[in-house]
Amino acid sequence: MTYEVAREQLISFLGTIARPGTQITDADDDTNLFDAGLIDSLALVQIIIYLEEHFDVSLRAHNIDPNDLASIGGILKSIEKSSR
Amino acid sequence: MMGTITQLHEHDRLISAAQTVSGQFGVWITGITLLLWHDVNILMLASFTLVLLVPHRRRELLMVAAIGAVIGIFLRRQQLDSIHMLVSPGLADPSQWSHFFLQTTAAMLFLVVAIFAAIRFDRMPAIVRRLPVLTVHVAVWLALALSSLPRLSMLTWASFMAWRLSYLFKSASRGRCSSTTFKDHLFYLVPVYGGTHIPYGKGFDYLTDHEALDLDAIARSQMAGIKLLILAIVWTTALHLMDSGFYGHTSTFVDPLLGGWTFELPRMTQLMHLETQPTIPIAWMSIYLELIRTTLELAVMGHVIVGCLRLLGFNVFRNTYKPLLAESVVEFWNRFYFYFKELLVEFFFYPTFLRCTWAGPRLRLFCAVFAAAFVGNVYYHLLTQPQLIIRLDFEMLWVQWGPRLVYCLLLSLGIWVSMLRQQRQRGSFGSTDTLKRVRAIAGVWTFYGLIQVWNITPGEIGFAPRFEFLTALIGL
Repeated sequence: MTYEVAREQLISFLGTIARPGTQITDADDDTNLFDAGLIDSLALVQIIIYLEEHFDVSLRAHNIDPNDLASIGGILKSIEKSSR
Repeated sequence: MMGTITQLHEHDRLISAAQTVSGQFGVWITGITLLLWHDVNILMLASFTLVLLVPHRRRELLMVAAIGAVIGIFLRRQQLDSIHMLVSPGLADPSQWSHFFLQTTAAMLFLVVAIFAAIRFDRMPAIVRRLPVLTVHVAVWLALALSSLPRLSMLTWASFMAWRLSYLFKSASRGRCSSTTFKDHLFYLVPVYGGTHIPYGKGFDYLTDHEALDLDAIARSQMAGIKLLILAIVWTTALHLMDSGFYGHTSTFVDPLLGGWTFELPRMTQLMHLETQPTIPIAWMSIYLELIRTTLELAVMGHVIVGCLRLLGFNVFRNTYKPLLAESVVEFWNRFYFYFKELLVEFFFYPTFLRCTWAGPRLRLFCAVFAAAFVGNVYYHLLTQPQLIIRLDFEMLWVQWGPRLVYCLLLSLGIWVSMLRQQRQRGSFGSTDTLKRVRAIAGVWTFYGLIQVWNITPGEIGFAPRFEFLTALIGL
């Protein structure tokens, strides 16, 4: 899967867990989604499950800290790291 | 006007003005006045002043202040001993001083070794690198057990240090400490901006990520700090109004404003000590008032500490953010005591959640929530009184923390159910219907109001009075 496709799918998923009235598409790859108030810190659970189910990402196996998943770029990096 | 105060850090003209020389002077005057109002220590006042002059030397200045704080601990103890000598020379025990000196020095050496171990983390044994947080806690318990006579000095440091060092070693395991130096760590391990056993501003990673580096970011951070310190005054006034108006306390500064008028309601603990059961309305009113009071107290304490951090240029999240407007149990938990929740989530929730891949989604979530809100919560409180564990005084442990086990269990269940509900309503949490919102908020207040019956004044009240109080709520 290419970077662009993964990004597109991810943005579409994040849109379903974003706080009402916010636009994930406004965020760039480095925006901290929690600090920007786009998603709740406990929504991270949903992101982890999504990564495991759709991209076969194992945070433990690849020593990825949940805090690394705070931005779109961070999430995409973790997908890339686990696919190596 | 109100909008300007609540959005101080977003007001572009104000932010620009705050970057000028006169603006910085205004920030200093306002900051110092607010800090003095909140009775903040002299080292914080000095640090704020100097950081304002040379913000790029922030960490060095805070390191010097931290060393000053350690020296202050020794001086204060010496002063207390001198007073003791004057008051009762016959009872003064010089060995107490040497014991205090040795214990505190040992704690400081432990700290220095830990910092260097974190910086050279890649040279640590494999077991340390694999289990960094566990290593910290094993070391803390070993240090406690090895203290021949565990006295207050070491015991107080144990819990205070354990969580701060946990964050440090977690950063180290992520490879973020290898290019740092001693100054990058001492300032948050011995924080002059204040704190409790819970590290406000977490640790190195979080503080670094939220450090204001350019003039605009510094001004925004300072404005956000001033806003929080003003808010802390507002909540202190509300707290005093509540104490005078509802509970009949006469020592608050707002008492003359009320002219002695009060409902004179008893506090929840007083109701539990009564031999006769309270009426249903009084019992219900006491649980809601207690919840509001606890929230205000926590907000004041957190706003002052985070306000100080922001004045120093670390624009971190506030500790308490409108929890009484939360519409779900999990949202309240997130907003009530942010840094405690973060500690439980980082060291208990996620490690468990990532390990339990064998479990189904609901069970996996339950394990993680239980690990954080029950196991982590109980462990955190045990660590604040390790002398009971070292003495193997299980009876006293049960008296002290037995009721809290019920609180933690109910909290875990509440959060778990709330998270499941939130996941079901994915993307649509938060209602726009006012009546629905009020109902949701009332439900959250009732949940936390009821479970706090098992949490207030640990050690003073046993199971029976708490249970009787709960039955009084339904008139039994």
